Amino acid sequence: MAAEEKRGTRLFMVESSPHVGGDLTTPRVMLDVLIALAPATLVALWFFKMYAVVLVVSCVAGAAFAEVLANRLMHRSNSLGDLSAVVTGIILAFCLPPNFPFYFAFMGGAVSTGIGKMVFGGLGANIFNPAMVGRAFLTACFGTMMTTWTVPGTTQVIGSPEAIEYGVAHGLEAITQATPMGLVKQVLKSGGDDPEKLKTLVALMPRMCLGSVGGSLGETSAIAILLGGGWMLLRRTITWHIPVGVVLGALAFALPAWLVSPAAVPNPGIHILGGAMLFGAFIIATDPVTCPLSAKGRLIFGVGVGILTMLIRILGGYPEGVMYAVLLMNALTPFLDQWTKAKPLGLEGNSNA
Amino acid sequence: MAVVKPIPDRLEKRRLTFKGGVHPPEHKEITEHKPIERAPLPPEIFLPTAMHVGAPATPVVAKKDVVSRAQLVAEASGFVSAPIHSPVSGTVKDVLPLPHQSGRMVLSIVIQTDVEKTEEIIRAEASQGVEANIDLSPYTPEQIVRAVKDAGIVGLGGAAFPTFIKLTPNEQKPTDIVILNGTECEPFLTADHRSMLETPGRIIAGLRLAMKATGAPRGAIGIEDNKPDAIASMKKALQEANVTDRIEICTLRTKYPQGGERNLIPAITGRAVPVGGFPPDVGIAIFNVGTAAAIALAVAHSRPLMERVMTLTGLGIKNPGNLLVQIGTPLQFLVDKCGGTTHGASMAILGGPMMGPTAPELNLPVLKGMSGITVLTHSETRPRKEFACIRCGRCVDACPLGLMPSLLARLGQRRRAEEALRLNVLACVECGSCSYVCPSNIPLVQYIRSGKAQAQKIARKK
Repeated sequence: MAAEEKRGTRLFMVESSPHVGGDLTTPRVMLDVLIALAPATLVALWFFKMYAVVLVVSCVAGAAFAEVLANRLMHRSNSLGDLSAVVTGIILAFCLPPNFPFYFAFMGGAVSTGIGKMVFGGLGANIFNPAMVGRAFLTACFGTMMTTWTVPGTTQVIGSPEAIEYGVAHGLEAITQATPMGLVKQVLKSGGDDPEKLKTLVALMPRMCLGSVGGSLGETSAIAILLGGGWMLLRRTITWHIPVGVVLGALAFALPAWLVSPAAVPNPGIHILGGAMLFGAFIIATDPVTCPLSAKGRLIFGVGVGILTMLIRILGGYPEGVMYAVLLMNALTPFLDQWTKAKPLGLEGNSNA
Repeated sequence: MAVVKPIPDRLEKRRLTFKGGVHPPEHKEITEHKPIERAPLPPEIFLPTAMHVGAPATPVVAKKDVVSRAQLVAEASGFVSAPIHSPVSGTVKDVLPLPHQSGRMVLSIVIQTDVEKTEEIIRAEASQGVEANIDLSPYTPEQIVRAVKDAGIVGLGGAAFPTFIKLTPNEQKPTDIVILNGTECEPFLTADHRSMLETPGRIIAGLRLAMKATGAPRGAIGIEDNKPDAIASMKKALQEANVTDRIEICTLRTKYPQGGERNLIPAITGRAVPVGGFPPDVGIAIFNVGTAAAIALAVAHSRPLMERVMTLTGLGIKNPGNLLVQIGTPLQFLVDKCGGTTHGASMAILGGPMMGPTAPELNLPVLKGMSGITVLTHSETRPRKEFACIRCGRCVDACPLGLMPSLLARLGQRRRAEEALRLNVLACVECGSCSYVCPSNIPLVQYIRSGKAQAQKIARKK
């Protein structure tokens, strides 16, 4: 048309469709994870006081440091704005014993993002859960420190003579002698000859819900973790498949054993409330980068984490197995993605919407 | 050919929706209550010879020829093609290449409007209605197909595929049902909505003619449940027509892209269109409601496709509305008639915001398949920062066709066309649901489009 005469008309933006988008952004997704971590953070602050602050700050600082450094070395723009380093740092801190040295925590944080994420190419490209990579590194290097727990609110090491004395004096024997997962291990090793310890464990269950037991910084309170998990489900940051899968996988092991000999083995509730099971189910294993894409794949992934955790708890040398279970299932994620690939509508076998 | 499932007896009772999809803000409130107004005639009409799928039409007029409204000015030049008729009486000013929606220059016919003469003819046409209970006995299927072909009717929903081809019966692939698409799932657009409110009888007449032409025993009109008044209007018109044809009005859940034929057909009939195939492969013919109305006018009054209903909408337009416009009207002329653009207007979209292409300038004419213009403002179009893919899977859940958008986009970006082809990249209809939900603002559709182009090259070689 009369283009020449109309040259004076205004020019509009040109872009590929669609021209509208949803409100959800990746930083907002990460922020939702941080909000979900808030209840557990408060519980950690309440029970572990300054230790919580020190650990969280050092882990986040380590994670951020490695990310900035890696971006510099790779001549990439800064990616701290996506908040994923903060999430990784906090999750790592929550998986550490409260009295873990802050400088090693910083190292762990740096390994998390540095080795766990940035060497793969940054956010979205990593195969393994970064926080778990950091924790695996710390476990390998500082095994004893990683399994040395303190009585909540004190510096006393669980199982030490002073702690037991303190426990006797304050009526806290149940939590000063061993962590719940330590007790579980002892009960399992005894092969059913330790009804006393089993009774102690059962009595500990309400404390495991609240968080006033020995254990990693952010994992002790089931209620706080469920609150956070509920928030993420509500915000659709995660779907139900992985948490449900993990619990189902754990039940698949714990329930039959308990039904056969209820007097000899810990009940399934203890397995699920204890250690990192719930934290792993809702917070760790649900990391979208390292879990399968499809709902079916996520369910299988969750069940795998649950089963592997139980295998390690029952048969392995460690009292807790969530970390290795998650890392092993991370390695299987590409295969799960392949097996559970979506089938296009209109291809044979998918005739209905 | 895939095994074809029988269509359920009572369509209305089924749960009519599809898996996947998104819920973008609809913004239909801007124009849905505004009756269709006839736009004034522009001083000049610009008719590109390419405004349909297929070969461009060949002009049959030359500079200085005097033409009258409804006169053929360009004839179809192949099987998949459509003739073009002048919507105005006047004089051919020139036949020359001009800017086109596609970004290329396209041979176009420019006609100077004789406003008085044209208006006189339009006034005469106004008395020629078509009722829902039109007597079909005078028309044979061949006559219907011929009338539609000669009228230059193409799909008015946006695809602009020559309609007569879809109406022609095929002995190997008998048509079980004719579906009219009144879902209008694109945000903002309300042209079909208003047509269903204002001329329901014409639409039903078009459906009945299409059923007669294709020999389909059944008909259905699919409407999203965000248009209850349109559903009521169509039901009332159908009831009053008191015809014996088996026609049902189907209510569909409001969800984008419910109007995509590959999602609408399974929702209504339970049959999926095979990947790489087309609706006739599963015994279905599907038309936009506006196309049905055009069929009715073409058959009953031999009226060629010269005008259509368009929505001019968005916060970037001062007085948005639904307009009955002549094909070839310059967009700037229409926007000016709607009070012009507002100060913040920043993007002009031909159609709706999910699938419509953008126009850098409004120096383009209305084409047959143009359902509206949406002008967005700065606050709606500010560039979004792109983040890394976090494999959240939202695009996979949103894809209405069960594809893996994040994967296809990456393959497209890295030019791995073989793999993309294996993962059915060609099945993508570019609806934009994946890009819409992506929290990392990755332009997935853009990458997939490039992947499709690469895959098409390979597919052609095979």
